[in-house]
Amino acid sequence: MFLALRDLRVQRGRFVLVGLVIALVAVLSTIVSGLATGLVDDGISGLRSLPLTHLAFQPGAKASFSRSILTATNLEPWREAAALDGFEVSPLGVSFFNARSAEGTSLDMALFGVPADSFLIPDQRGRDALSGEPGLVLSEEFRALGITEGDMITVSGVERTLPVVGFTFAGSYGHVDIAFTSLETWQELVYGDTVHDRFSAIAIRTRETTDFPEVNRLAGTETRTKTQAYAGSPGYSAETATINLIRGFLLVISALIVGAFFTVWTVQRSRQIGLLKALGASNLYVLRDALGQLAVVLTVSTLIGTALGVGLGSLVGGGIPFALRTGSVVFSAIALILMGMAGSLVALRRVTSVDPIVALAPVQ
Amino acid sequence: MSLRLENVTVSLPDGPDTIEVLRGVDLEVSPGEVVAVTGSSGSGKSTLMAVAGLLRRPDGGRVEIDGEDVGNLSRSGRTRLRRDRIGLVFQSPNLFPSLSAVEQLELVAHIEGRLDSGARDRARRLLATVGLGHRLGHRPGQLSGGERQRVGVARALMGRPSVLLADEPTASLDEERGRAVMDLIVAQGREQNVATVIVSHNLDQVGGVDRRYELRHGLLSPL
Repeated sequence: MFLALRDLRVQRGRFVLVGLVIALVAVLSTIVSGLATGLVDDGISGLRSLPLTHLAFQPGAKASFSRSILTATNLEPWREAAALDGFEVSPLGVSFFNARSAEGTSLDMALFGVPADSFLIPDQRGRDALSGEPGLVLSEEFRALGITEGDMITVSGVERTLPVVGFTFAGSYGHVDIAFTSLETWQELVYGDTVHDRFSAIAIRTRETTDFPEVNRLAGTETRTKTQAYAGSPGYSAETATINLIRGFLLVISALIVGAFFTVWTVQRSRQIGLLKALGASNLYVLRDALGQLAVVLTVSTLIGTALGVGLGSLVGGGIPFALRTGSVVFSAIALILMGMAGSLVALRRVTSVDPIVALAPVQ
Repeated sequence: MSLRLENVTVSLPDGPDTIEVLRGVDLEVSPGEVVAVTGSSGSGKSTLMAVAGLLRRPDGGRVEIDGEDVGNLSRSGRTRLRRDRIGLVFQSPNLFPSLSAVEQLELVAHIEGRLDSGARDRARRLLATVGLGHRLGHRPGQLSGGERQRVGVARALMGRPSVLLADEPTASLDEERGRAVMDLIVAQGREQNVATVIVSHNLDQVGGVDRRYELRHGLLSPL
């Protein structure tokens, strides 16, 4: 990289423009990465934080709680298998409700109905809150709406008023903040007083990686891993597909920009490349030089763009689903660099094909 | 014998036809010997240099560098031989705009994979020899045409070549500067004990050479 580094230093103006464009793509890529993570969090953070490994749904429900209705008949084979094989199961009800506070504040909530003794409630405070009089344990996010412990919340439609008995980190599901209540209360809210054995799914916690075919057959259910169940969150698949498409386009755009720039750059310096070869430089030497230069431009620009993206991302307000995670940002940056390198392959092929005899031609 | 061309022929396409640019050229140059080749424009001088510099394969004949027949060498073998045994001075100085004078020479050592303190010292010494000891850190844009060409001469000698080929090295210089550069090439060719071939359309500029040739209609004849 003897020549490449000096070219970069002396002719930096030439590289600033392409560096700027790559940096802007990196900014955009980082922001999109933050949006992707934020949307995912908004869609499934509540489900992700639950201490379960699998969920059993009604067959054909496609991991959607709203499409799945199970009863005690479905739960029984699971309880027997759990007792036999040493894993844990719990019924789980999930429904979306609109509610309002005593002050009239409108609240959307994903209401999770869980038995108070369920493994899904890991701490004693939570169990106490759900085992007493009917009430709601709200996600911390509700505090921002001015809701405090002891407030009375009226669930719209059924017009049932419940007290707020606590707050917890619950996250959100389907872009709606989560509220917990006991399974009995949830069943009353969803099905009224008459039906008390219905729920949405069976939460399972096991160290096994099996998908329980025999239990499913006996129980008339189908299981999904927790990760697979994310797809059931409303809009989750479409959102992630859209964001991934945007990220893909950004990578392709980056590859095209870098490829176009380095093709023009290679054509412009064909004589230099020919001269290097005339001086005895091998194709490997010339390629190493060109690739090194490219890697430096790409890496520096991407790092600057990513840093700017992270800086801008930190300014994003709480109203927008946005979250930056190191792994995702680093992956995004590395993908950008690799795609840029891939985009330059056309130019690199041209590097190897330059004939050293061009060095003999007089400069026009 | 450092350089030996025997019955070398080269044909090039010319529209639908082909023309014989070199027709059975013979040339031998020993270490420390300096020969000059002249010829009118289009007489094949640059093609001769391309063949001798292993930049073009001849259609027929034999080329030897330090007694080694290059005919059977692969492309990379020819590149290696050019790197290790041949120094080229071009019609245009062909310097890298981003490199200082001394770095132009250090690049040659870097290509050889031997850029150490010894090579750096040699680069400085060579530039001092061609009268540019005070211009080491100047880039091509900061040097005059004559100075640039002198850097080109020093660069050609950097790799301790057996053969020095100068293709119209004064074409872009005025009479006075051109003569000075020619004298420098001749003097360095002898001093470094290199077989030197200078191609020029103006032999008046070339003094003190051992032999002179004219290339005409693809044939090389002694003058």
